[in-house]
Amino acid sequence: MAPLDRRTFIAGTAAWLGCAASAEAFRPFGRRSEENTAGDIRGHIFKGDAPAQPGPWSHEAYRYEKMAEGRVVCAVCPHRCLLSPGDRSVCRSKVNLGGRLYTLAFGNPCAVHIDPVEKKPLYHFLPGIRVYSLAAAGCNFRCLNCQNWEISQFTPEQVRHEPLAPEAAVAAAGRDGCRAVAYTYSEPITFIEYMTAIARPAKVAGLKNLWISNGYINSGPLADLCDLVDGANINLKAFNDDIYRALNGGRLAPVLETLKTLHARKVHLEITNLVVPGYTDDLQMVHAMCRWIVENVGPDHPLHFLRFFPQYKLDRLAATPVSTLERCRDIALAQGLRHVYIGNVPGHAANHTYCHGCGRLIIERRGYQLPQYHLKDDACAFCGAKIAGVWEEKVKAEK
Amino acid sequence: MHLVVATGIASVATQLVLIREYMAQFQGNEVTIALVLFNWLVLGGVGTRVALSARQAASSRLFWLSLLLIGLGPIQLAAIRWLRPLVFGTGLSVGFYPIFVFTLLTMAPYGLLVGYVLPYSLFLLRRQVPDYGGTRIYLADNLGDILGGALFTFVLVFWLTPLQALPAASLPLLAAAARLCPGRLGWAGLTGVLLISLLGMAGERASLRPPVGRLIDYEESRYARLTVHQDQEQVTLFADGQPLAGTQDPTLAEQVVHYPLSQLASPGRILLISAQGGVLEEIAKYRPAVITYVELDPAVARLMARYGLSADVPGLRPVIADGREWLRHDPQSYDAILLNLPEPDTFQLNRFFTERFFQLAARHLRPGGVLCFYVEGAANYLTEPQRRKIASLFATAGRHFRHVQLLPGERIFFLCRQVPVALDIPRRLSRLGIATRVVGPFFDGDITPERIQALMQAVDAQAPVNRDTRPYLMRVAWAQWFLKFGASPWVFMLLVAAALIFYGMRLRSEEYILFSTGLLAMGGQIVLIFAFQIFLGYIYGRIGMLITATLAGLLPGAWLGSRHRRPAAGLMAADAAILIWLAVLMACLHWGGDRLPALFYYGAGYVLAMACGFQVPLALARLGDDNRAAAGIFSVDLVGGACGALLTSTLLIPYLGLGGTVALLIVVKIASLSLMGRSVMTAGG
Repeated sequence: MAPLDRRTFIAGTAAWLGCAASAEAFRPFGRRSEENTAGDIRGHIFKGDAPAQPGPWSHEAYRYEKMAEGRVVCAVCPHRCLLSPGDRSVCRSKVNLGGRLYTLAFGNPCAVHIDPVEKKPLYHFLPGIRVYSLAAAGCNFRCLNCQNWEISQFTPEQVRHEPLAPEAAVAAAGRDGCRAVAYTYSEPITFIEYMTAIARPAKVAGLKNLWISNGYINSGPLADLCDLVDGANINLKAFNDDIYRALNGGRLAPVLETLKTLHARKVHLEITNLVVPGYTDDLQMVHAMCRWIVENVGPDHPLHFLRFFPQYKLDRLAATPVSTLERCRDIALAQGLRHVYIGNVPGHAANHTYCHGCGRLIIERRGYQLPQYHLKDDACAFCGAKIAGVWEEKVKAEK
Repeated sequence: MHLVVATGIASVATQLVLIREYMAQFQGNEVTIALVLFNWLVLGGVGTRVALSARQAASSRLFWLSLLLIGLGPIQLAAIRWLRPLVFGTGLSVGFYPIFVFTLLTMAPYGLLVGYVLPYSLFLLRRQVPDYGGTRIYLADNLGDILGGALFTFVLVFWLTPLQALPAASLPLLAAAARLCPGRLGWAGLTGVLLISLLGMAGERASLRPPVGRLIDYEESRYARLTVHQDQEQVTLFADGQPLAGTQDPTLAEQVVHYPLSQLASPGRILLISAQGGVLEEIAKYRPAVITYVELDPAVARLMARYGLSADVPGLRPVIADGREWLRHDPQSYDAILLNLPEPDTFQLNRFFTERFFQLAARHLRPGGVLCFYVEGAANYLTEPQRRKIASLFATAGRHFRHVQLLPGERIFFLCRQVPVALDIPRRLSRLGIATRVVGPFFDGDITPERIQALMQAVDAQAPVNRDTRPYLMRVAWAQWFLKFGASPWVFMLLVAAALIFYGMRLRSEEYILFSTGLLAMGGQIVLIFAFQIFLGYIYGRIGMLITATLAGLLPGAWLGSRHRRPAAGLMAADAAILIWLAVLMACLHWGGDRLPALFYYGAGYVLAMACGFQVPLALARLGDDNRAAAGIFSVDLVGGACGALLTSTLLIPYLGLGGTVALLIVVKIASLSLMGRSVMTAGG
């Protein structure tokens, strides 16, 4: 074999050393660790990844703009994917086929389960009811700690699914004794056509519609959803745009707009915040977040601080210390929020609902069981303070 | 000559430290080990080739190169720890390609240099003694490798941390280099290197500072790097960077205990293989007479006890042993066997999820007893590799248990019994008067009949069985790993294959023999290590002994080869001997299995290495033993070893099993033998 000359060797070695010494050389793989704020893991458009033609689960997308040369812009979420024919969107669910935008997630859910409503989590929405929960594949975020990456980070074609027409979903929900349909697990915004197609007949059938989402949606589609959705849990992942970009691949501002819109449209809203050590456990940030919530959507929307457990790619961190969650809760209460919960900590006292008027326990939760329930006419049975939420006498009687 | 031996000692110790470091920094599975070995050997091979460009070897330059080697070790280690979070972020796992690029780049300086120094030393010696034999350098290098391996495996790992072990292993090199010291500047260099080493020795804990919280304890056990982090009031034990047990999570402890024990009216004897925080306290709620707790790593047991992650409950009987090996010799039977192990994504862990283990467990259960184990599941949807893994485990356990019940969730639990498994677990706990925070209150909402049914429908009893010698689960685990990171191994494999074809086409027949020998030596060693731990348990000292025995065979082999007068006949005879060795190994593993004594493996490793070592001086003699031939031969040996490490552990064993892997190695060697035969005939004898 021909030997390398010394010059090549020295140059090569210097290049290796240079690459190894410079973190910049690895930028495609990672982010800065110190402040966990640099970098952007936002997803990209998949060029030429669309199927050749619409399949059985394709449906023309309901909000998009046609551009020159057969290109289209998806108008559902702030990514505003500009797709040439044959391209696939960031969320992996939408494709441009011949100058028309199609969703590939219509009638083909990959996860269908019946859950307690508390699991969403929704603590102030008809406690104790069973919820028909479904998801199709795809997500417009790239959360490093995604709990459902098995479906959120794949295309609808890559996952097993069951055929379930919208009307069949509604019928199944009723048959299984569910009081609501939840669009959940992955990101329902990516299958908004399917979601709305179920939500309409569900509403007619007397079922509630629950939207469990990252809230990364444009104002137009959101306005349409508000007509259909009865309750929403929005995951406010951080109160820092840099963290949103580095941890989730999204932006903060559109999510805040979603919260304001849901509040303005009087959709029952609960907010979730996952406290990730080293990323979103900055108490000053939590303070600012709570202040924003109180000032912009008021003190009544329940806020859930969830404990982080190692998940997906973020699996080399310890779980969130319980005291950190308690500090977050204290901050939120001090800011004036009335109902602040700690989630993913079984048996914690902050799982229960307390009256903001008298401080008495009004709903006790043991897992998904409700051993105590002291609400009367949507108000505290002890002092009469009105408790925000969707309550129902019949449901209460079942407790 | 002393310097070559000393370089061997330092380089092997550095290699072992680096493997452990990368395992601590990344995924602790065989893919990482294979990648590190592959990179190391390829870099060594490239460095050796590059040495050909050294026109005039000088002792002063060798002195500086040696100093650089000594100084680079700790610097490189510190750089790995510093760059890892900087490049990839806090708390993040990364996939195959980032690991490959990172390990390649960060070990490049040392790997290239150490490959360069060996032939350079030969060239220098030949300036003084023109007919100095390449074999002698090879012998010296091997001697150094053996000493370095033994020093690290049996001494340094027990007493020193990595940043202490590196300078300690480099002391002989420092002494040898000092003899070449070119003057005042040289002494200044020596002092500088010493200072770097001392600084490194003092900086071990500082370089392990966790991204969140603070480091309150640290131990390099024989099996992993154990760190204990405290964040607020929460204490978490990490093994190789992944959380192993924490003080504040009752969920897993409750699930692993109450799912199986609620099946029994009154469990008297319980076997627990490894533990999570809080498991022992949960078991104690049943007041069993005996809890036998088997833990492989004494340091894990010690740290768990020290930080309140395991309690001293009544009836506790701790045992430090390999769980499977211990069970094999245990005459007792149990009401419940609880496996509390990480995901079976390494060969070491896979041994607890194979047919032979389930058979062993079934034999040790009393009538009505229960075996419980769990693997990663999913909140709402199983990926295809996950589904295949669950199905295989279901089919494998089903061969020895009449009833295998799966419970869905983020961890999927397997309850295996000869009698039906009851699913009214909260009610049973209530009747037994056992209070829980998770299982009782959450079971009915999380483990719904609909979810159980969906999971049971996803598995089938005809799925491939996971066997010791054909570890189907490893294939699936790696498919899952690649899926998680959105990557495919095939791009890499195709690139390696293309590079190999290109490389192979440029090799002479003697070089090909040594290439195949290097591949076989490493591949055979890996087969032996895996077979050893499958059948005889993963006991650090014995695995170390096996590796040392294998290395030790090279030395007498090379010595015998240097005395052989007919290179072509010798090379072919050695190839034939290796072929016979492979055939015997295949037969022994197939029919012998766990009946083979440890001595068999030590002997087999020694004999294989001897045959491989025998070929090096013969190939050198046949190729003329000039500088070019020597460097070429050292290089192909290393590159062959690199390919052997990579292919055997990542591809051949998971896909072909142990027997298939040995069969393929036989094919490689037959090709080598026929090539050599043709070369000899062409050359007229």
